[in-house]
Amino acid sequence: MADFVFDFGNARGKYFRPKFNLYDDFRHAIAFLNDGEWRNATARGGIPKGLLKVNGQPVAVGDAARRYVITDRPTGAARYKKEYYGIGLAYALSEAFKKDVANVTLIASHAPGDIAYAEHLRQAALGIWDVECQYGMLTFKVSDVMTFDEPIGGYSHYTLTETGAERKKNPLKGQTTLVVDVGGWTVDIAAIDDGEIDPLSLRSTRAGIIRLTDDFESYLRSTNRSLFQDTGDLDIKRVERALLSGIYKFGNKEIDCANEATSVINALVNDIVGVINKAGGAANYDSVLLTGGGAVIIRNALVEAYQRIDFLYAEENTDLMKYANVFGGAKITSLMRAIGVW
Amino acid sequence: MVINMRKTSKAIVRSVRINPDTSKEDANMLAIIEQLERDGFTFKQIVQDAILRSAGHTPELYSRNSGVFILDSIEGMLSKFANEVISTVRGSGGVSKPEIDDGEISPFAQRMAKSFMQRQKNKEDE
Repeated sequence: MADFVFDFGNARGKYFRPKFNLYDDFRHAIAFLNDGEWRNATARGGIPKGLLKVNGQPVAVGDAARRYVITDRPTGAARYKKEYYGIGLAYALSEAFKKDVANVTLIASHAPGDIAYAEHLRQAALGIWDVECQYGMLTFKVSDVMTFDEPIGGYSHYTLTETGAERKKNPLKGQTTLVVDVGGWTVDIAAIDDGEIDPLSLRSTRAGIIRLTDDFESYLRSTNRSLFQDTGDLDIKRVERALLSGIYKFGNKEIDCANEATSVINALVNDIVGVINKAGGAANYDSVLLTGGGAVIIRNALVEAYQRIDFLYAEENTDLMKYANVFGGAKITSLMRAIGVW
Repeated sequence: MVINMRKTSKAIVRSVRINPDTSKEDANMLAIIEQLERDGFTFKQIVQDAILRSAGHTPELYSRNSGVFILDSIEGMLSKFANEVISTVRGSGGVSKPEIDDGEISPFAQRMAKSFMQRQKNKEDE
């Protein structure tokens, strides 16, 4: 049995193999190819990275998909179909294992707002996935699927150990905590009181990093028209670095974009402040725990907006913050197994 | 990059000090090491592979293309040297440091589990 934790976020897919502490992410982009495109792409022998056939369907996933026309970009629960979620999952499995796996236990995350579709997610993932890719012909059998809300993943990562035990000197013990998960498409929250999850508090709000980066790119292009005239999509990692540093590196040129970065970040922070206020306001909580990859980009501005609040970060290493929820998914799984439920 | 060496009665230990802030080559090397560790290789495997290749020895055991064999080897090593290898792999990943617990489930963890189960039940009721 191989555990595989998967967060198919709207901006990026993240995965984690707890047994080996292996994790990685990929751009959320899937392009469906026709036979001609597949032949052209594989004409030189070998299959390029990011191209694969999943149960016979040729696709390009991740950065490789940028070279093709993406006709369908479902978001949220609309992705929970074998023909979409299953393909993203098969790609992640092939990258993570690079060999056949006969018995995968999938631990899959979802936004709180998608809980009504958790069974759709489960059905989209279960079954046998035959993958033809750069690593050869691989077969994965997903025999079991467990699901969890992403904010609960972030909280679990912060408060539990890998065996599912409460961590020593747990800072959130005895505390009422608001967990804020800043994702690509939604900002999700959960109120958790000394470990007890308030089910009515779990909520998703349409706001997130995707719109922030889109707006930032629009600003950048509009204020530097001639420079960006001939460029295609901007590399997302370069954009994220520019948001954090206020400088966009365009070849040898450095573009000062601090004003644009501040503007788009503040817009998202305003949305998040609204989400927190709807949850009762930050003053009603002992702690606010930030999780999700988007938290890294907005945290300084959020701290500025709430100067009296101590914001905690589900993962201290900011490079790994985007994995906080999947790390936590493994930990909550350990806890549930320890008590004999899973 | 600074290399130190010490001997014990059973092994020779060499450690390397990498300075990514002051050396581009060190920074590049560190990025490659971290990527390979994410791919499942231990630091020793990485170093051993590079040295054996540079000396012209066929890297049969540590070819980066034989992913199946490598992962099987890792599984074998883990079963034999579990604590040592797990601590090495964990050190590269940034996951919260392992803590030794006495196996008891604390009241905090029990509340989490119970409310999590309730949330799962609510999901089924949706």
